[in-house]
Amino acid sequence: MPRKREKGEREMSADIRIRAVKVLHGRAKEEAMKQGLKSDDIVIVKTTVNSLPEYSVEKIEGDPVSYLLKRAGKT
Amino acid sequence: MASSVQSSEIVLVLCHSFFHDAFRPHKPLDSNVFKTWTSSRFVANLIIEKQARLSEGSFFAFTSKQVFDSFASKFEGDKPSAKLIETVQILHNSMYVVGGNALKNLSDDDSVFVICDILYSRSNYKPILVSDIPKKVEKAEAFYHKQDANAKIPYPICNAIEVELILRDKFPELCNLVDRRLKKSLIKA
Repeated sequence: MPRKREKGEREMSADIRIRAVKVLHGRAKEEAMKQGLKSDDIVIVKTTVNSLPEYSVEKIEGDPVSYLLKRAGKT
Repeated sequence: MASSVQSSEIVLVLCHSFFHDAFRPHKPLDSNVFKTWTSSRFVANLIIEKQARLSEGSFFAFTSKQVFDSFASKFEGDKPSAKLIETVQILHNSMYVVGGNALKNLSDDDSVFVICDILYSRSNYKPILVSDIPKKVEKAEAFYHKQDANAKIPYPICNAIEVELILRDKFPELCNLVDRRLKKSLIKA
């Protein structure tokens, strides 16, 4: 789980994108493995950078477009 | 522009109508519109799945900044939630959104014609312009004929239904995966 930010600590940057578990490496891969994901699964990887980057991994259930629309409250 | 798309590979250049159809939240009632919607949804899923497997800096789909921004603005609405903003960021990161001074004064249509022409002319890319607007071919012809009355459009312009067929032929395994995920979504819906 990503570290909880202290009050007043500003998030320096964030990136969010969809990646297949099979192409992940390092701590992002470890996070996916912790969740028991398979190599063919696809995930939303959110990267936040304070000093050392933090990676949160969210499994996409079903097809990505439907998942994204539901996640965004569009359906 | 993209630095490492493999040579001779098909790449898709997306028009505004494609985004509108693919990310329409609810099933359309009209049967013809429904067919376009299902194909657009399929192609959008394939783009995301393919991009998820490509190395950083490689791209399968392209669009212009003005086309993407126009879609994003309508999609987000007036007061977008954090999750909605994230969704737009995810979509932005699932393709190459081409900006820059050369394109900034062009119309939405002309900007994607230019992207296709550059992808085609500079390399062995095989761009396909994806548009569900039937008059796009006439518009592209008019764009080319402004400078040369005999010029021909060097790349295909296809609607989502046609592109789905091309992709099913070219990427059968990934298309099967998209089908399985779509089926899973339908079961859960």
